[in-house]
Amino acid sequence: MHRRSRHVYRVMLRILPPRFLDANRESLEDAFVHRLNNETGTGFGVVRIWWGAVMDLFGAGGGLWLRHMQKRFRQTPTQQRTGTMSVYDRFVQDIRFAVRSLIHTPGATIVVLVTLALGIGANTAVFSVIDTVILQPLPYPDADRLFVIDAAWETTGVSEAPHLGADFQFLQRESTAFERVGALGTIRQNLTGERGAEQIDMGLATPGVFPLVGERPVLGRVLQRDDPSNTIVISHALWQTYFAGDSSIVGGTANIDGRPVDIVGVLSPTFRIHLPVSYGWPVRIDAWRHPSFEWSNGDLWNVEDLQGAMFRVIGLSADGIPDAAIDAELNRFAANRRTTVPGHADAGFQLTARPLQRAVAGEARGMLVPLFGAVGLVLLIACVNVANIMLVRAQDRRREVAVRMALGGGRGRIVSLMLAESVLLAVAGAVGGIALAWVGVRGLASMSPPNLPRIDGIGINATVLAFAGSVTVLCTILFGLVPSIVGSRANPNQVLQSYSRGATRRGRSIRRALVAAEVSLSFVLLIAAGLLLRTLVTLQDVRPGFDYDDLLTFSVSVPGATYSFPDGTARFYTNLMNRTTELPGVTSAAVVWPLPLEGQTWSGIYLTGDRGTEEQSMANYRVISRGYFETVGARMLDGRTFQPQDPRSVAVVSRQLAEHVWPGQSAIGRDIQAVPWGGDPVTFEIIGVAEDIRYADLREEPPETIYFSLEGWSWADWEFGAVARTTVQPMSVVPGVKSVLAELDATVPLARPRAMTGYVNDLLSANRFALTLFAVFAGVAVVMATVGVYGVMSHLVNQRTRELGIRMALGAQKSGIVRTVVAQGLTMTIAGIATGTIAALWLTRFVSGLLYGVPNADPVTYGTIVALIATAGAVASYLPARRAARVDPVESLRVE
Amino acid sequence: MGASNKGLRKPWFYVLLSLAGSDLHGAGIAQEVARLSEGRIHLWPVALYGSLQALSERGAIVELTKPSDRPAGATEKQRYYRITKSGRAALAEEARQMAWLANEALARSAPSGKRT
Repeated sequence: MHRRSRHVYRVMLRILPPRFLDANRESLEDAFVHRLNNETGTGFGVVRIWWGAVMDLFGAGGGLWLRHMQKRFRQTPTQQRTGTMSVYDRFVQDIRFAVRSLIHTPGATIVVLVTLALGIGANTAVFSVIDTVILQPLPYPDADRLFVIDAAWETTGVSEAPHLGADFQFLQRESTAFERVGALGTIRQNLTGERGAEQIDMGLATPGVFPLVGERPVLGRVLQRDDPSNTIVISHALWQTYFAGDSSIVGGTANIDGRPVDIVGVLSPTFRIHLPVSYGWPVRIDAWRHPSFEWSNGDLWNVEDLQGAMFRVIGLSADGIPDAAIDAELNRFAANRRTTVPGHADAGFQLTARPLQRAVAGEARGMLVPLFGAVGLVLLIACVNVANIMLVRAQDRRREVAVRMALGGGRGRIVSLMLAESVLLAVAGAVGGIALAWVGVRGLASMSPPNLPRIDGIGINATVLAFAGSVTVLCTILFGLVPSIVGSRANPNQVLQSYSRGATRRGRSIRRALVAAEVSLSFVLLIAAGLLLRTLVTLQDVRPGFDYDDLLTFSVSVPGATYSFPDGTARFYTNLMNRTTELPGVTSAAVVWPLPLEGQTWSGIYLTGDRGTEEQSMANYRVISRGYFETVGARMLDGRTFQPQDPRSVAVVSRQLAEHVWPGQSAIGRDIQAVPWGGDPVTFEIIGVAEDIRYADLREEPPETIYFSLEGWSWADWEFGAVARTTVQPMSVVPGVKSVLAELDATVPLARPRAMTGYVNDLLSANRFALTLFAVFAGVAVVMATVGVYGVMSHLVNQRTRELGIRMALGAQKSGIVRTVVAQGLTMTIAGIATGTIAALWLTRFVSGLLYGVPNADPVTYGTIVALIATAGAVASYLPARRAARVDPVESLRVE
Repeated sequence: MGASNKGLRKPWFYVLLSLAGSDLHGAGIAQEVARLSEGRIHLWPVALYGSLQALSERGAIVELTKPSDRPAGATEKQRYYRITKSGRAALAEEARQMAWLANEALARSAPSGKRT
């Protein structure tokens, strides 16, 4: 009777303390059933009994637990060892025991904890960066359907190029593969008002853009389809800085390049339109407006419609459309454009689309993936190191285990003791790892190169923390546990007798293999760090074709409303340069657009060869003032630079261009056709050839370049760079330049003053970032490996004390003893170096994207690192060897 | 005995009281406690065996394990308990305290008693 009830009650009883339950289970069930049996009456009575039983379980059961815990803390160890114990009791006792034994061996404990923390922390930090920069979806609705659409010019080998406005309009009109497309551009304009003049980065977005990114402004609204081009929305940063957070600014007006504009909204602080880093867009766009058709200046925006303007294009693909269909449509459009626009046919016009997400992650992927590999190696080394130390601990305790077993300690009990120790270490290490990850993520974010996208939104990645944590924790537990299981299987008698002979042969060889593995892994990391260091040194030695020390750069944009171009603007710039050169500490000054090393210039310049040859090429172009080459310290190889009386139609070309078009001949006096302002080609006469300059990047070969004169080809409403050669610290002349500018025109602000070395540093920042991290990881790895070698050797020496003593008693020389021990240590190291070399030769291919001017198998790097690791290994084994040689033969025989 | 100076908990007192007359098994104790408390105290299973364990640990009662000690007719499953000497002492001590309290209460609640 009441079989079912008994069963249910039995399950409920499980909440009671196990010890109490074991002693009373049957009686409790009987008592309960007895009550049920006595209740003969209604269903309500049964309910009452169940209710009573539940209250009893919680009420009296709680009391039992309380007494149970109180007892735990009052009991002395002697009491604990008597009688049977519950799993819980044993666990508490084991943990207590483990704490004591870990405190007893502080060295090993600290090494394990630090290793675990580093392994977990470094992995989590680096992967958190990778996750933020590469993996997390962009913060837009339908982010997975967003694409960047690039133009490409096959004939001239230019890809990922911006679109001409006309091509964009065609795409916008015809596309079915894209639900919506938007075009974006950026220019620098002057914001003037009561709060002074400031140059701002103005984003130009066609009406299709804002719906794509789904922005909710903090004040007012975003741009809407019908807004004229003098309606702007401003960034949160500009609102806070220039407008001092004044809310009344929305609905008000501001002055941009001398024209009034209406401010209709303030964007949220996190608003950003993420574009590929290679586009060279400013990190911060201060305001957005629709592209203007009526504002005039010399270049991109002086057009009847969008025909001649250059845009970046993003698009939202139609829901569910396969990539192949997108590609097919773009190919069809490109073919169409090639047949309808003659220039497009010649240049081999193409259209390509890439997912925005992947394009934004772009180059960062090349840097972060090797980094993740490196940090993975650190994790591996951490595991090996922990395994190693745990094995030593286990070995040292074989005797203890044997004694325990000889005294009747159960195997399970001994294993669980070791388990408690491992778990404790693992948990403490994991806590340290979390702390380190927290610090590391912030450190990485603060030292990351400026072109690492989306780094500002970084946080710790919980998944990776869990992954790295469980790997190392499992490793700790595994290597803490396995030896004790194996050890407890041994015959205690044998162990006790053989103790003086030391560790088993197998245990020793496992440990040596582990140390060799550690050495080889750290060797790989050191090689990578070494190659990166050599790259950085090489890059710092690259002379880009001009002298970037003691060079001040700044930029200036003059308003088209007050200055005509090219004459008015040229006059302004000439005055500015002349006055700047007169400043104390300045020897010369010049204007150049765009500034060297400030990203790529985009030019639709077609260079037609000598008339009749019809050769077409793409060239980088620069608009420069007189004195440019002298100021930046670039040599003229042939001919001369611009003079005041020169007509517009003269040009200077770079050495490469001259050699390309007129190989083996002088270029001076030759004709060349180019299109500086769009429209029809203009014929130029070449008056000079200048030394090549690496304009885009220190790593890239100098582009073929053609220089036009500022006097004939400058614009208004467009930013020009200026360079000034100084004899003093470049930034110290900035106030002087500011006052000169204020005297010339108070509405023209001085923007972004900087020493040219700053650009060089920016270019190298990715290399420096990668190098720093690799160096840190390699350093950690080497320390771990050295500790490993040292640990194994000193353990070995300890165990062989007796043997060494006998040898010395029999006449062995101290030097001989030292040699034997060091040789053993070096064997491990050399085995590690050998495998490490093979691994490194294969693995360094993954960092080759970060290398410059250094072969993957650079013999200098390999030689240095081999010497370094071998020395570390030798020192780590010499110290225990010296100790071994100091052994007093008589004493050693008395051991034990 | 362990916590004697703190006084006996009510269920413990009743358990000792029920055992003071004769050895009883678990269900018997529960019945006797209910009877002695005039139905006010029902010892539910966990409370009952929790009390029995606590009293055993304190040496106030012992479980009868030897067959010779157990009453004739006791089944294998029934667990019989006997009060020990120290258990009786504790019970007596508690009873004295209760008696003193009872006297004091009676004296103070009498109409002729002192009022403060």
